[in-house]
Amino acid sequence: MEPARRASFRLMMWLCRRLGLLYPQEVRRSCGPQMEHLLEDLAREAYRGGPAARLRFWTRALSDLLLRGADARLKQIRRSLARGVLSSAVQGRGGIIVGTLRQDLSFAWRSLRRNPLFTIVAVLTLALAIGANSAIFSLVNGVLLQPLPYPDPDRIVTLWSTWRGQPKGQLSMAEFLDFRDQVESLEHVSIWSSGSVNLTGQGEPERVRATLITPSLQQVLSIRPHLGSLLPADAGRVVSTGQAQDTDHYLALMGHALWMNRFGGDPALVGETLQIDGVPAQIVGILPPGFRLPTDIVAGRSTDLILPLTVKESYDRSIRGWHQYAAAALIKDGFSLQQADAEVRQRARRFTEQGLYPEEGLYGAFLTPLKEEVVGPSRDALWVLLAAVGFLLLIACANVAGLQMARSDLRRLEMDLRSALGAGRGRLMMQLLTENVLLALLGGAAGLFLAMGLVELLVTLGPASVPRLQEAALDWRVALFTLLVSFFTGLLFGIAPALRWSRSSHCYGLGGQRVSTAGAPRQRLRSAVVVAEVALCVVLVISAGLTVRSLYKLSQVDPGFDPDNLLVFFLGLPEAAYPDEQAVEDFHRRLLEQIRALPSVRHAASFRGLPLTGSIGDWDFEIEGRPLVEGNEPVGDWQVVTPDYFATMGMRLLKGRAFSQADRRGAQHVVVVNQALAETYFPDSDPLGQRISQNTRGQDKDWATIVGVVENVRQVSFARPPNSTFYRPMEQFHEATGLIRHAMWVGVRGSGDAAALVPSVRQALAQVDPQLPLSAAAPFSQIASRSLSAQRFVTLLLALFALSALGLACVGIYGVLAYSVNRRRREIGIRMALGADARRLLTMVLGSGLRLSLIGLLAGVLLTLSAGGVLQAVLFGVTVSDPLTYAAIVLILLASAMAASYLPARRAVRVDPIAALRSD
Amino acid sequence: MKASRKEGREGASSAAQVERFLPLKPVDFMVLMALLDEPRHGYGIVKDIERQSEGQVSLMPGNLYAVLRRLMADGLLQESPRQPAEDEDQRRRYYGLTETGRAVAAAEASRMRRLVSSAEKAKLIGEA
Repeated sequence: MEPARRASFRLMMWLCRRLGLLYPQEVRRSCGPQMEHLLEDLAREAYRGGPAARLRFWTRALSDLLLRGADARLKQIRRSLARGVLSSAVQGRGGIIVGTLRQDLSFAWRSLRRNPLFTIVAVLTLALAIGANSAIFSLVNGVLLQPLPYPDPDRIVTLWSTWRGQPKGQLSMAEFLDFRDQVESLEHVSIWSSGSVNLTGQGEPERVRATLITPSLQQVLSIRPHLGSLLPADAGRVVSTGQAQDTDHYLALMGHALWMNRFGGDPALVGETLQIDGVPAQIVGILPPGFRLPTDIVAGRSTDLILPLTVKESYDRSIRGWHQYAAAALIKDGFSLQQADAEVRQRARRFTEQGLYPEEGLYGAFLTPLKEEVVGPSRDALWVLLAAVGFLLLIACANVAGLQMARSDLRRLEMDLRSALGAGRGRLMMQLLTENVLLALLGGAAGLFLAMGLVELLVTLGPASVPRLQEAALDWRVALFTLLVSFFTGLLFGIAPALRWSRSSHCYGLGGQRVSTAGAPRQRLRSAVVVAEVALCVVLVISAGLTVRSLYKLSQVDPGFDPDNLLVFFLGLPEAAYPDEQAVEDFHRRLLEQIRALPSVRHAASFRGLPLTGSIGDWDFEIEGRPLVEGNEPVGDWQVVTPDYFATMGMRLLKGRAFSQADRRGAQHVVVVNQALAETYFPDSDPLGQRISQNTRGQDKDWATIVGVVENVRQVSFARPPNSTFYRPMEQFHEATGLIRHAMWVGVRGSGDAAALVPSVRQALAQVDPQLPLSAAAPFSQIASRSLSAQRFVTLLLALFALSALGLACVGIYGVLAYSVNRRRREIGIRMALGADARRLLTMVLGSGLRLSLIGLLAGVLLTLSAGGVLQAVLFGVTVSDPLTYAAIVLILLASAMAASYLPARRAVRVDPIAALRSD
Repeated sequence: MKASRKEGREGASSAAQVERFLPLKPVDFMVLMALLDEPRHGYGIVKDIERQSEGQVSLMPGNLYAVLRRLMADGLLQESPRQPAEDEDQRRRYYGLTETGRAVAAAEASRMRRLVSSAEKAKLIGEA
């Protein structure tokens, strides 16, 4: 069973066991275990079916236990009464309270059953609101509250560095070494870096996700291998830093999923040797099932291979520029997070004092708890959703309270009678509260069922970009939450009617005759409830409106290129087979020629970083003729591309020229910059013809001439404004920096559906190198759409909640007006008899509906404006006070309020004056 | 002679004892039917009844054990001495028919046959 189902199975079994307590002890002792076992067997069978079958099963099982259990208990009571023995529970002071409660409960149950329509409407309203709350709470619980899947998650921290223009960066090798050796409050300081490798040897070549780690990370995360052993502490491999590779052998841990899927879970694999990027690698162990590195949890992936990252101590101390490693450590016993953080910050300051970093670079470092890192980004959105369903619940409470108050008239006689017979005010209030809490608990139980379905739906529909969303499930925390919410909901919507009832003057005689028509205070209370309801609804609907506008604005953002008809895929050339730049360049030239020769392909190019999917990192550069300020150098994101890149991506050239086949190795070095870079660094001059160099430190400047300016491309996401970016032809980049780009993306622009290109592109790749897998191939339009999935998810949910809220608020307005028309039938009758015309009556009722809605609207708008700060975090391109949204929402709400008022108004017009006057 | 009279009286009283239970509730009859061949545990009974009724009757635990307890109190069923096998869940209990239970089931079946044949005679349904 998958985790969500297993959790719901356990939860429901737990509920059933609790219900089983209804049975008398003798029955529980004689048949309890057998019944439980039978229930488990039947439930397992039901779980082979779909969600509907499960829902049906649990509904039947719970009602079966409830009915049979209560029946058995009643029989026992009857027997003991017949024997003249009162159960000990009904004796003594505590017994009286329990007895009273029982009496109240059974009375409340009868009273609810007598009014099935009221009960059904109230329970459904509450179920909707409580169910939505439980479902969203399950998400909050799964994503934010559950501990991370490591034995000691609270001690794990992540390390970050920061410098001018970079508030939070990964660590470089030298920083790692310094922190490892010098920070006393941390132990097992570790770094890792994920990428992908080609796995060959047994079966088809496969591109798999691999992570290089320092072996100490195994201690930080307390990894226990499923089979075999961990990487030894001194396991090693030289990281590719442009230097010649000096290992001919790796050790590796394999992920459980890869082991099962590719090798059928064969235990003999441990100790075997496979080829990783053309280098033999011995598998020393298998990772436990479901194991994920912290960065994998964030990315929603899992690592297939873990390889050791060895550090060449003396050489690596000089590598300060490459901030490419995620870092984590354990806080030593006896130190707090604050102490460790202070120490790391102080160390970083000392690095600058020692002259390792320039003063202007503003270098620093800090710690964050791992948990914060993993779940921090989804927190705002989830709290906004939880607040939204909280509002929905308040609205539902207001509705049910309204229904209860309408009933109060009908039950006045009953209450007066009880009071006349000597029931105290407290006793009456308890009775009414018991009834309301019972109602809320029934709503809660139904809501829990609803939540079961909702959670499954949310997990399926939810975006992959929310880490741990898959772990959301109903568990005891959610059950407890639902129970508490239901209980307090019952108190909340019950307390106002109960107070009114128990304290009101007796305006009806015991005979049931109406003594007076005065009902103003009660009507005022109901009106106040409706105003509150409209106000809450306004907050929700405006929030939803704002996120919808925000999503619309995001989807209207021009990414700076044309994602349609564009196929992209990833290529990682193994270093063993492609040892030098010549081989890499030849490969790309041949591959692109093959692809361009395909029918329906118009352009094809290779490039370093995929737009819209995250940062590609930046690089300092120097502008010819301008003095370089150390620590405040010009900086830009760096792309490495083949000549046809701009045409392939559909990027617009604003000035100058794009790259051509002539911009090769040996030719004059050229560079194309984006508009942002041109505006930042050449605000008053023409960038064309200016020269820049990526070598800011050495003497040997490789000047490259700016030959073109292209439009800005959104690199990180639709929402993030573009950075300064420069583009270099691949061959000249190799020549200038000596770094070989083994990992590149390839873009193919066709004349039609991009997905249809995959088979022919795969064939073209196989013709150039049959060992290379085609990985991560996807139409770019799909990638672009995925990058909006989180916003779309939040917007969809908010819109759903807002619609429900609007519906409930309309029912509320309708209820209060219909009730008021009913009460005023006599008055309306008199007015009509005296000659009031229908239109004036219509206006009168509509007017009172409008008045309530307007007050609610005003309150709601003020509430949104004052508390909308929370919302701003999930908005893009609109402010919390966006006038257009407010105007639209006010119109929608007024129209809905009018619609809700119209029915009662029409009823008022149709009052027959004679019948109305005669009726009392 | 004496002996035979005594036997006759016992036979009569046990027939009266059986008659006392008739007509059986449909669910009681189905449970008795499920146990005709061999003792079964709760799950076995539920499955057999589903088979008998072609899926129309599916008992939940509360309902089933209410029936079992009642039939045991009436002496129609008893807990069977058969123990769950090693690889079975040890919570399992087997239930079997008593002699009275078997007689009651048979009497109910004949009663139903009489009902059916009178329905046939009345041309309500065709003869089987």
